[in-house]
Amino acid sequence: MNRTGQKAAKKAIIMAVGDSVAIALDDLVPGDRIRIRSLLQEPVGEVEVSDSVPYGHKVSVKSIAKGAEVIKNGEAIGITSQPIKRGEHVHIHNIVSLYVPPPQTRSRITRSIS
Amino acid sequence: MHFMGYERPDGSVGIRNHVVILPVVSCANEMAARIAEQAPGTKPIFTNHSCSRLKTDNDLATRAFIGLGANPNAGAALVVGAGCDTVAASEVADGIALTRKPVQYVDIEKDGSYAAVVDKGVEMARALLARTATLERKSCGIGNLTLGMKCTSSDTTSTIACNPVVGQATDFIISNGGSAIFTETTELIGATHILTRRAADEQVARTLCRKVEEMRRRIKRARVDILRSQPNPGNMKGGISTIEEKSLGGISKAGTTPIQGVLEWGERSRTRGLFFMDGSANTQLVIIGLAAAGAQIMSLSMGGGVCARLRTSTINTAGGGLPVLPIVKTLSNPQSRAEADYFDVYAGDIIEGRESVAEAGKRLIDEIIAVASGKMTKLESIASPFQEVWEFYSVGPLV
Repeated sequence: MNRTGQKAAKKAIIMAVGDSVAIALDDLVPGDRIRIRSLLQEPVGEVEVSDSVPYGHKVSVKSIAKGAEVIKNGEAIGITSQPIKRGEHVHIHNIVSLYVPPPQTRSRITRSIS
Repeated sequence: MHFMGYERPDGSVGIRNHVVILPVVSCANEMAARIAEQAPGTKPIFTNHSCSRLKTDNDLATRAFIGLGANPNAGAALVVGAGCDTVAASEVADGIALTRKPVQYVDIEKDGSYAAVVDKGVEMARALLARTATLERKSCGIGNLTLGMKCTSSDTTSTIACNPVVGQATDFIISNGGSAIFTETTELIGATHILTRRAADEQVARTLCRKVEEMRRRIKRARVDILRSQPNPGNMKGGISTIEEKSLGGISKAGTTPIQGVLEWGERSRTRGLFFMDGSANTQLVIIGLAAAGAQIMSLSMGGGVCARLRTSTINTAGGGLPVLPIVKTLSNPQSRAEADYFDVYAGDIIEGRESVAEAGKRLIDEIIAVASGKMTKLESIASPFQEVWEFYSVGPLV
């Protein structure tokens, strides 16, 4: 907490303009605000996070409809398996590969993370 | 833009001027070591190649041995064989001789005995050292460089820091008329749709897909369905959700230019630009393959973790690394910052918001030019009592 009683913004980075996800550079908890920078270190915007998001994981910076492409570094990295709201953790519980069936270990991993 | 390099008779340019001793079979490693010991300054490249390989793999090995001797960083080469080898020393020497650089060979069958091979080899190696020692560096265009690329110990920070930074260096070299090669077919399984969009034409896209499919089938014959095992649990724990996301991070080090062609492992391209080379993701195999393909300098980008703490050896590159392919090591993860002294370029300030990818990219380009002009890499400058025995790629079983 800072002097105004507001939590200090945490860090995230976005790989390319137009991406639907940013990458957390701090461990995030629900209610955290993230200040998002570009690879050129320019401020891009702020998002309030609604999930716990570990360092290095993705946070949605916009709402994405079910079945829509998730864009990182200008490329589709998969499609959503459920609607995703701005500020949510984006990972194997809500996105799937466009081309490859989920790994057999996926359900176990999902449980251990969630 | 220019660097100070060694001009070779075939028009290529070296950034080092080594006399390499090339045993063409593991049985000849020890003779090569004795020759190198008595001809200080020569660089032996020990091999795991043996007679128990199929013809396909002997052909791959032959091309690789020739490529290592033909590499512009070798000023001269001495090939050492047994004489009963599946890859003949004479054939390798003939292949290297096409570059018109000094090359000689010794083997037990031709020279009569083990002792004769060593004695004659020492004499030849000393003469080759004397012949190459007089060569001086001259100003050469950046377009003469071929950069090889590999990422290792990848984590989230590699995607954000090192890989885009290396991508900048790749684009810089190619925009100056040079070449760059990336490889690791196994890393592309399930992600060809991303890569084929970068292909210069339909033919390149089709070859890429075929190489990836062949690799997937070879893995399947070993009873593993690799598609279903990617991304692996460690990747997922680190935040990688899909195979395309995993591949994307690695592909970014290849910059933004079109892929001009697909090379076989260790094959040299006749044209310039960005190339994909077929092969394994194993670091040793990547290094030998890139050197044989004619790369004079290599970028090895690392995330962090335990591998970063290996210091003198970044997974299989102990003993100074492969003499004919100096490696510029970059580090991404601020949590491994304590090891930054063992890397040529530290890119972790990008993660901490203190440096942009463009600024770190400029530092890497400057470092590449400095190393090309003779500055020792971190790996080259650390003396090691250990000598690497290099892996050679094979696509078939040992028989």
